Amino acid sequence: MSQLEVADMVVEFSQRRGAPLRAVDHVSFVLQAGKTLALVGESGSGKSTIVRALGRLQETAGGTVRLDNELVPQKGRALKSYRRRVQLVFQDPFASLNPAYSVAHHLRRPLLVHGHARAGVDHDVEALLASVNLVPPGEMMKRFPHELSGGQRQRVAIARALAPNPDFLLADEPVSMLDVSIRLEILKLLDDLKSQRNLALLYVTHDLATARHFSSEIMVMYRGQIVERGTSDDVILHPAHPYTRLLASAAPHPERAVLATAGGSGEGASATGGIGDGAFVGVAEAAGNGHFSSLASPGNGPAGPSGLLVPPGEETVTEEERLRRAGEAREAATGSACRFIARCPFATEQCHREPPELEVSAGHRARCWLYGSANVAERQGSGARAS
Amino acid sequence: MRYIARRLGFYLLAAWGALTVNFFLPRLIPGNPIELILSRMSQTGTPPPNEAASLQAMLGLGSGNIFIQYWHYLTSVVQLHFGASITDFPISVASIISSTLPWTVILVGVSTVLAFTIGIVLGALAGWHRSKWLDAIIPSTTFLTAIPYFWLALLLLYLFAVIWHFFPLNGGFNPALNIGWSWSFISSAIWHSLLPGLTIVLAQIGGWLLGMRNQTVTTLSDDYIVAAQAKGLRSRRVLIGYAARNAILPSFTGFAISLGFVVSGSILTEIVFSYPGIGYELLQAVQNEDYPLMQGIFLVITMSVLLANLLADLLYGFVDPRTRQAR
Amino acid sequence: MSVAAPSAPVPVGEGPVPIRGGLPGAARAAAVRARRGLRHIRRSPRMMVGSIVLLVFVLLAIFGPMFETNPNAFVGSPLHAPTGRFLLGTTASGQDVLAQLIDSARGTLEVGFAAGAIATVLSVFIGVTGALVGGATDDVLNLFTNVVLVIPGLPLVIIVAAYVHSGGLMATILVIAFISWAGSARVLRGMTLSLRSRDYVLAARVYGESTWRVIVVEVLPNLSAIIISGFIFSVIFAILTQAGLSFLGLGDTSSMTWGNMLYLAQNDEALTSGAWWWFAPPGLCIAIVGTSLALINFGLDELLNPRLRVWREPKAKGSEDVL
Ligand SMILES: Nc1ncnc2c1ncn2[C@@H]1O[C@H](COP(=O)(O)OP(=O)(O)OP(=O)(O)O)[C@@H](O)[C@H]1O
Ligand code: SF4
Ligand SMILES: [Mg+2]
Repeated sequence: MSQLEVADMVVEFSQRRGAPLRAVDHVSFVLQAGKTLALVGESGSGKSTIVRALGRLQETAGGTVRLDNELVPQKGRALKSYRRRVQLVFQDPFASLNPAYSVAHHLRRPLLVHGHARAGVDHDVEALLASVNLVPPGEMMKRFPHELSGGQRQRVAIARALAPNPDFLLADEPVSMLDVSIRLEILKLLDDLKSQRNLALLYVTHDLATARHFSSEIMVMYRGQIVERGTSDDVILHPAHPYTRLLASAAPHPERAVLATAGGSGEGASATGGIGDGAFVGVAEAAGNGHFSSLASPGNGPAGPSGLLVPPGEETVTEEERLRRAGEAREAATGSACRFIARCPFATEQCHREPPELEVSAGHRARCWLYGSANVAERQGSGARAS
Repeated sequence: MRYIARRLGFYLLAAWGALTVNFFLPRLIPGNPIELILSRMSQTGTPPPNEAASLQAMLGLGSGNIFIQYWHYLTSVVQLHFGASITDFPISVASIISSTLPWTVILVGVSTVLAFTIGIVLGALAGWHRSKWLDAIIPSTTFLTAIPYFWLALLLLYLFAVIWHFFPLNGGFNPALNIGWSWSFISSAIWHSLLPGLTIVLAQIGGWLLGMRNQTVTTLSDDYIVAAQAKGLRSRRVLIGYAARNAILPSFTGFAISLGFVVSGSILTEIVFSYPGIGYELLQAVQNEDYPLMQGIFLVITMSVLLANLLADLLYGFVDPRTRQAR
Repeated sequence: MSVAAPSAPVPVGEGPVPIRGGLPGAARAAAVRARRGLRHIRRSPRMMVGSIVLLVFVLLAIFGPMFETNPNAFVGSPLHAPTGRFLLGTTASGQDVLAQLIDSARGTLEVGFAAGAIATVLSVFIGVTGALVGGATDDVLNLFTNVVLVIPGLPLVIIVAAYVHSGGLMATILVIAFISWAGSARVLRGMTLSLRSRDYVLAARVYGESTWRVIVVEVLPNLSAIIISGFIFSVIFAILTQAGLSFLGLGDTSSMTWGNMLYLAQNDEALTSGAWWWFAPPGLCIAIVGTSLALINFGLDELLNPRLRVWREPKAKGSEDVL
């Protein structure tokens, strides 16, 4: 049983001024054959950085990656076998294919690099194309990227990732740049490939509904940390961390959306909530409609939901103010308080210390003081189950 | 502040690079240039006893190993000891330069600013009113940029001076007048500078126009411009307030590259018009193998260009919000 | 550009040798690109005009001298205005201006293309290497590029030419090449930096493609348009610089160029004696060749920046709706 084990991964980017930006902060998880792990979180939370670090495109500042219990090096020749077994699918199908080459080139090269004989390589290229439903393969392999639609390109990108016959596939928002109508097809394709080839899949997304439908477990990421993890149903239906609850309430009707996606209708997918740049708006509406206010426990006045709604307000902010805020953000990112404290309606004194991952229920953990042993019983009654 | 310091550091480094190149150049001269120079100087006067040492330092050809020579060279250059000119001995290089430099700075400066302004304005308009015939005409401005400066100068000189006797044939002022702040002298100087100035403006304008036009076209299809138009802002405000401001930035960056062209071009222009500027003096020095004068003029031209670039960079930093923030 | 060097040895003598895997694709890619290029030339009138004019001059430079008699022979009366016999009149010493003009085309284009080629090689080497290697190497190369960029070229060339005296054709070419590579190197560096982090380059690294193969196969082909455009620009620059240098009497005098013609004309007072037929044509030729090159670059620009296009490609299907 192959597995990829990430322990305490840290990735830092040096900044012009001040301490380095810690984009990934002690993240640990395991990818297992035949299972899909979803990674959700707002823009800039560090999802892509994790994927790049796992793809060994980005050096890590700490932590280990083990492939079947063998330590994976940062770079060098020793990576070759790792490179065969771990492959990436990128977000933007328009940038992930080289405009100068035909589809065949994109699939031949990974085959040849990993020791495929030149004889008969085109036969296997066709087989790969067929496996991602790009038909007729003989015709498709002659095409150039600009002669393909976005969905077709993404299929080529998936085929390229499959070419070395990997055991692990890391898909970084594989459908977010695609037309809504073909997103589900691509996700289904990935899901099918996972079952057929017994792949371990890391599915990075903004979309809670598809995360729940296509994965067995979900990790929620906020500012470089995993703030909640558990089975898909636990995380989506009973979100524990205040941030996850916010996400869940921003996605208006997870139940219905998931039913719709299961039915294969494109419309359903479009109705699911995103957590992208528009998340604030979604939250604002949700809060206004009372979805979210039910979460805010009474007596939490000053740090109430309004704190969540501060728009970025770029235009009116003075330069000085912006610098100050940027400084604060950095401080918050490396400081010792809970990272969600500024937006959290439940924040208490305790939250000025960084919370560890605490158990909510079996296999369901959240990085929040609400689930300290003293708080669990009290809180679960009041709002943890709202969705 | 950081931005300013960084630019300043860069230009200091560039200046040092130019000085170093200049240090190595005289080694290309065949024979012993110092003796050669001294013997030629003694034809027109008696070289002072320290002239040999001063020459050695300036040309980097003194005694000792190359590092000592380099050190002597740097110290003498930093103190502006350029030595004496060979041809006009015993007049010092510094005084020749200081009497010719103003002519060039004013001529090139004014015409460059004029060309830049006119080119930018016309370019913005051309990018704004994209019409078939304008698009068709634009490439002909390439023709202007591809013309050798000095040939354009010859042509203008031929038409306006030789055929139509409209402008003077050469020089920077009427030689019958005394140089000074008299109105007659100044008006004569302006009159003499019109044709060379026109040459420089004509030769430069195409490049600015084209760059600005392309930049405006690109900027205008950006989302925020479309949004501004959708908001119903008056088109003139969109053009001036939004598009032009952003489109102009690359032109500033292009300034550094173009200034080299401008200076090179104006050297040739001055020569065609026998204009009493530094370019014309450079040709005289080259023709007379006046090495100290050549060295001095090269350094002064290079330093002026670096200074102008620095100013353009600082101005750019002032206009561009991104660098302003980093300040 | 031959980019199809296979990384694995081709099995020889094992039955029928298969067609090398890398070749058909790359060859076809090249063919498709060439076809696309041709279509582009046809659809961009500027590029078309530029290419034709340049071709005429190149042909003139290659074959012209075959049909001309010695251009330096004294064949007519001095400073004779254009006549049926001498279409562009004669010089002060009675040489045929037209014959000299045609003869000079070769020298001028030689210097231009040679210096342009050397400058381009330099710029590719310095610009692309820096961007790909990164780190301190990049910092140093980038700084060097920027310094060379801000130091004015012609004064330097003039001084060098004055010191070296008649260094000959090669010296002229080298000096001009050295002062003209920096602009394109900077552009190339920027472009390479952006290409370097494109997803398809990352993907190639993820499946284990070697570094040099990533550079040669995945990155360079996408820089070709910029490299060509930089080359053309360098050629224009070289022709202009060479003309200026010759005009000052500092160029190589062993072969005839348009710049040399202008120098001689200026020296023999062609201007004041009204011999426009002597000094006008060489400059015009320089300007025309320069313009034709610039027009070709125009077309390339349109290719690189679709928003500048006069003609438009059929719009791609809307795919902007991002989550
Ligand atoms: N090369 C880089 N240099 C400096 N900072 C970077 C770099 N790449 C990412 N970052 C920073 O790291 C943080 C995490 O970025 P990342 O791309 O991983 O976010 P993400 O969760 O994938 O966001 P999105 O959903 O928008 O793709 C961000 O704050 C980003 O600004
Ligand atoms: S630890 Fe405190 S501030 Fe952080 S999420 Fe939990 S309740 Fe909110
Ligand atoms: Mg991302």
